[in-house]
Amino acid sequence: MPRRRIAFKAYGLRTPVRLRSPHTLLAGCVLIAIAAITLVLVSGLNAGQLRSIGPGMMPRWLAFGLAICGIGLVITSFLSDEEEVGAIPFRGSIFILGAIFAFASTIRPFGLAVSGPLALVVAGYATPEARLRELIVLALALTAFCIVLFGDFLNLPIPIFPSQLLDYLPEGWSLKFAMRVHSGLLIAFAVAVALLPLHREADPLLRAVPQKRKD
Amino acid sequence: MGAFVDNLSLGFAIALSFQNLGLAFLGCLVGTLIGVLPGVGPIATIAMLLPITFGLPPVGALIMLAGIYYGAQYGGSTTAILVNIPGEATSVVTVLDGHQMARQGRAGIALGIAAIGSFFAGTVSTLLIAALGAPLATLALMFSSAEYFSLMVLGLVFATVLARGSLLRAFSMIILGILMSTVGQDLDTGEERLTFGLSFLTDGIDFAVLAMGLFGIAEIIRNLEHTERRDVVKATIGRLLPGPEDFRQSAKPILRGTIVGAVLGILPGNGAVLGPFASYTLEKKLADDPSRFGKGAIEGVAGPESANNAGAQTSFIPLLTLGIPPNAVMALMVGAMTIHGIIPGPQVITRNPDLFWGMIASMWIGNLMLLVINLPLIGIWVRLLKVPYRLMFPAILMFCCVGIYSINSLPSDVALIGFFGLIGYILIRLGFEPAPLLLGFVLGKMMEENLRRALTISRGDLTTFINPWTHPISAALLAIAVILLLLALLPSVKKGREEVFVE
Repeated sequence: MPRRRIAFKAYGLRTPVRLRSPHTLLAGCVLIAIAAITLVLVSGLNAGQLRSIGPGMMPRWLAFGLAICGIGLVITSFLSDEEEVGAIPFRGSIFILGAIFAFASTIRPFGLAVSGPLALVVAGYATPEARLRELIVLALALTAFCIVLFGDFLNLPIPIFPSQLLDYLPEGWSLKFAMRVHSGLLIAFAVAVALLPLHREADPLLRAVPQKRKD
Repeated sequence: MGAFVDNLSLGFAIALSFQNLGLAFLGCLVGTLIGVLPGVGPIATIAMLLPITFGLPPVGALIMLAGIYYGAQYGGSTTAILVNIPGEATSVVTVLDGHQMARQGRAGIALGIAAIGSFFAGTVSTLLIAALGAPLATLALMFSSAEYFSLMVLGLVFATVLARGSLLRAFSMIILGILMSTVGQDLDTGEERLTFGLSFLTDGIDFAVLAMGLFGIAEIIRNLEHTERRDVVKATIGRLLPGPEDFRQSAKPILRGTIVGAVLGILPGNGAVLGPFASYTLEKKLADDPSRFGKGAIEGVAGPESANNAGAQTSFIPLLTLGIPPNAVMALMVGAMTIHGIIPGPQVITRNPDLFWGMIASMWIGNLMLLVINLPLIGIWVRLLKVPYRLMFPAILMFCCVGIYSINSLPSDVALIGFFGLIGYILIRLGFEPAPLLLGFVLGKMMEENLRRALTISRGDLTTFINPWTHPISAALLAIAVILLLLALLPSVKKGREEVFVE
């Protein structure tokens, strides 16, 4: 590199400028984009003057600051190398975000009893090492734990059961009692699934995992 | 001196009754157990456990509340170290080196040092409060908007030192954090800013949601990239408690952290939140090998944790004497105190001396309980790390969702942690770091409010912040900020020059 550097200094811009770090360039562009979006969004707000600052002034100053940092990063991307960036894993993000949105959309209508296990199992598949049986056991056990802790012990206003099903509770059953019964059932199911003997070759649940052959 | 001893003995006489000891123990235990759940930070923990104290007599209730408070704080640190999720602004610093230590198999040591450092800081701070409570309240009265603003600016300069990477990137993250704190309704005019018309953004972004998404979710996504690297947390747990070498390295940081935290905690306006950051900055500057920070330096846990606890205790001084809670946790405490009959304000020391001093004494007992309860529990926490990650992360995710939902009962909050998780992950891949963003966010609101107020008072005169005649404290704080910034920039300028010459 020394020759190129000296050449750059001696001949100025006649030497072609080489992009040395696309990673940093992208970072800088993202900042500039955020700054631009912000400026557009607050264009309707009154910035006021220094002695009576309006709502628009801080966002505007900050957007300018951000843009300057972005430009700085863009310049840096031509000046120094940075290390390689690996591939973006889509599987992880999709399943994690899917699990979170599944929880958010099902918690109110269906309660923790449904959204808890759902979120946990969906999230579990974010890794290629997912095993359905383990996830089910974990989901059932943890949901039972959460119901007892948050719903029963701490009395938090988290919906536990689907609102429609609450009409079908047997007479005399309080909500807390229903919670405890449900938790008990969950634990029982969890234990049952955990102890269920399944042949490895025939088990459809384990197909996702590459099995080490035992011969 | 006589009054000092009298007050403390009164306090301890009350706090050491059998019932009150039991309540303190219970509070600490429950606070820690709930606080340690990932997704449930100190704020959520205290809010959840507050109703348990309602049925108790006032002194007992406050003692249990103090126990819950410390338990929640320590539980939050435990989560920060083990799972890399900061439950509160002050845990952001613990996460930096504490989690790295956990990854290196030194989780027990990190947890132990955090507990011991906190206990030492708590002891010193209790003595400070007892001795200096009243006189220090007068310091609070000298602070006006300009001083608050300059203090926040100083805090942000600390944030740049937290950055492991380039300063330019850290600086841009700070700015982005402040920008995100402007989302919501404007303070003075009520106009909506940057809310995209979404109703749940009208009140702005919740800190817990942002922290969970940026740190917790983004971290989980990042860990899933490297299937080989994932079980990095070593199976060999090693020593559970800090050894002599660790103590030797941590002794001075604990001392310095205590002083820094105690001083900053007394300052009104959430000065306590700057304690850990200032301590981290200090330790990094004083260290023989600053490059160890961010990779598991024990000083990066010992100092900030002590500062955190010292600040948490001394921040009761402006709280009890001025009646202004500096942050959400303190606001909850004020609410609880009011319910039980202590109305914070200048007369609280004279009007309810037994409640006041009983509470101060019970704070120290709470610290002691924490040590007693948690050191044995460290073994259990550390063993949790052995659970294979493919099972851990869905569990963490579920707790996060439930925890976040329990704060405001808003599904949009839960969806937002997913959104911020994605943003956080993208930022990390682009080479940015979330820690400075979080600090910018925390300080942003206060900064803007005080900036506007100071400039309104000075009628648009920007020099009011550095004018040594009208605002000497503000000028001093800004001067320190500039000096620190220069100190941070100089090494990189020098290094840059060297690189050019080397090539």
